[in-house]
Amino acid sequence: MIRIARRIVYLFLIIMGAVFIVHLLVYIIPGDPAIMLAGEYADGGDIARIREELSLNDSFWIRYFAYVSRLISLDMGNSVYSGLPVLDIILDRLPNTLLLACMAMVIAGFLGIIAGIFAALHKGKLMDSIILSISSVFVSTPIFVTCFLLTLVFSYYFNLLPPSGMSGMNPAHFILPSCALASRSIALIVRITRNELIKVMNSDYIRTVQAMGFPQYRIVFVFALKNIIVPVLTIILLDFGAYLGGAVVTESVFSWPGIGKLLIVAVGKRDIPVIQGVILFGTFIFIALGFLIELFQGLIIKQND
Amino acid sequence: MTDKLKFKYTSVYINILIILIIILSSVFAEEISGYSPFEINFSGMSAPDSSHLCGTDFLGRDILGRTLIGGRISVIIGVLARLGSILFGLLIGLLIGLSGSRIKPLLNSVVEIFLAIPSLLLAMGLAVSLGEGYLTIVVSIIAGTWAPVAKFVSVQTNTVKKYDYVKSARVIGAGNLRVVSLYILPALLPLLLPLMTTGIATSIMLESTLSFLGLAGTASINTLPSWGQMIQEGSKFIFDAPWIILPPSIILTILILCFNSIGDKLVQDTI
Repeated sequence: MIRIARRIVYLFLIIMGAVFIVHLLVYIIPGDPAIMLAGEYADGGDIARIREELSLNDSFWIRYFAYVSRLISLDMGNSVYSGLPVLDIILDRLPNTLLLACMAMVIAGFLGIIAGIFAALHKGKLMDSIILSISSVFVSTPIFVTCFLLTLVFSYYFNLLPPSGMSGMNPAHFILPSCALASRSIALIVRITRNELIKVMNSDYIRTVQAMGFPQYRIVFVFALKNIIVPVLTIILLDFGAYLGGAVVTESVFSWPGIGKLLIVAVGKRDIPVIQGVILFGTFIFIALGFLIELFQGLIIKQND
Repeated sequence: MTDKLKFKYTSVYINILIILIIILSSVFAEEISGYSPFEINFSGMSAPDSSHLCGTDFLGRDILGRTLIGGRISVIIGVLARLGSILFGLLIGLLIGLSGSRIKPLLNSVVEIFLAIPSLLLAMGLAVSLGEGYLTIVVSIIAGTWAPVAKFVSVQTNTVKKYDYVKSARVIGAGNLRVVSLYILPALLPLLLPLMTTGIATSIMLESTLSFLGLAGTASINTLPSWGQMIQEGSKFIFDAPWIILPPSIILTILILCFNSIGDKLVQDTI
């Protein structure tokens, strides 16, 4: 318990550090945001008012501590353009991104584990090298290239799926984006499943079970898979954090109204509070996931003891 | 034995050869394609034919030439950014590995912080705040990728410094600088090589993603095209002119694949 509490305090400090760095980033943005915001026809008074509103006149440290203290009460400031609270905007978009990420996780997990098992069982044979080569290609393809290739094939040549947008819960719209998002992590899951399974299949107790005459599929699915759950689930969950980065690209290609699209639009408009908010939110999710993984690993290890 | 050794590295040599071909063709892009990559022709987009092997884009520019010349930016930025992040990560990692109990936790948590911020988001934020330009891209990629290197180096340094030969050097009276340069660095370098090649792949991917997202600077007519930016421009006409985005996409993927496969092969060998 104490260890968990200490970990949480440490992670809190890490988050504060991340806030510091992101704040530093924003601080060095060249040009006066107030002048940009006020537009062409503003006079000196307007600019001064905006500077006051954004507290641009204060020093770096005052602004940092003000931001942190507001952050603790879950206030990330307001969007410069729409005036809405940043956290509300993010939470409004979050379900869309989570939907995409969960779909991608399911697709990547399912295909990756199946292909990984297949490759491990055919270790060193043609099937193994085909699966490994395909996964290298997957890992090396930038996500926007995958997006466009999928769009070209499925919505242009075969005319099966809509190329972009989101309409309610129509599943046709999220097949392409979630496949694109899943593509890179499929490859990682294939590799980790394959390597771990090969390790387990060489262990003594699997040899014992083999000697006892169990059929191959039972050995794999009942005895061996149990032992690779931890590393495989770890990589799947870690990838879930990486989807947030991938979501930026995927959502901008498929005009999917999620957090990634929000960030792209905010970057285009130099909407600083939103940019800051999304980067921090992404960092927070990543840290929280890491913490969950640690807890989960701890639980599994305890159970096995 | 020697035969086996030769075959073992055949794939590495093939990958290096492909990378060299891509680099050379980016140097001689104009001669190969027969057109200036910047020459605008107001006939507009045309599909691949015998005069333009890969067709032309919306400004009538030759796509083959632009695709080939696009390799310059990707390779130069990819290699420079990775060198930078390796050097910076190496420096911080060595500091962590060798520093006393006072600075160590501090440096360690700095690394942890940078590990926690998703690299693409950090790079995007930096690209916004530093303004446009090649240097910005390099700095953003370094900022997004140095932390894993530092972590790796610090862990390895911790292991290496406990080896007997390092300890005995200490006993003879070798100072920090001597121990690092003569005993620790030589042990780390072979481990850094695969980190370098897979890292170049990551940097190239980040660079193309940033320029795809329009953060690498506005595309003026005279600047060197980059693949990400070409794909971005072509994506507006993806259904009318799919030939615009295909060549840069394919060559970009091949280049990343080559660096990744070399890295994979080297990792298999060092572990």
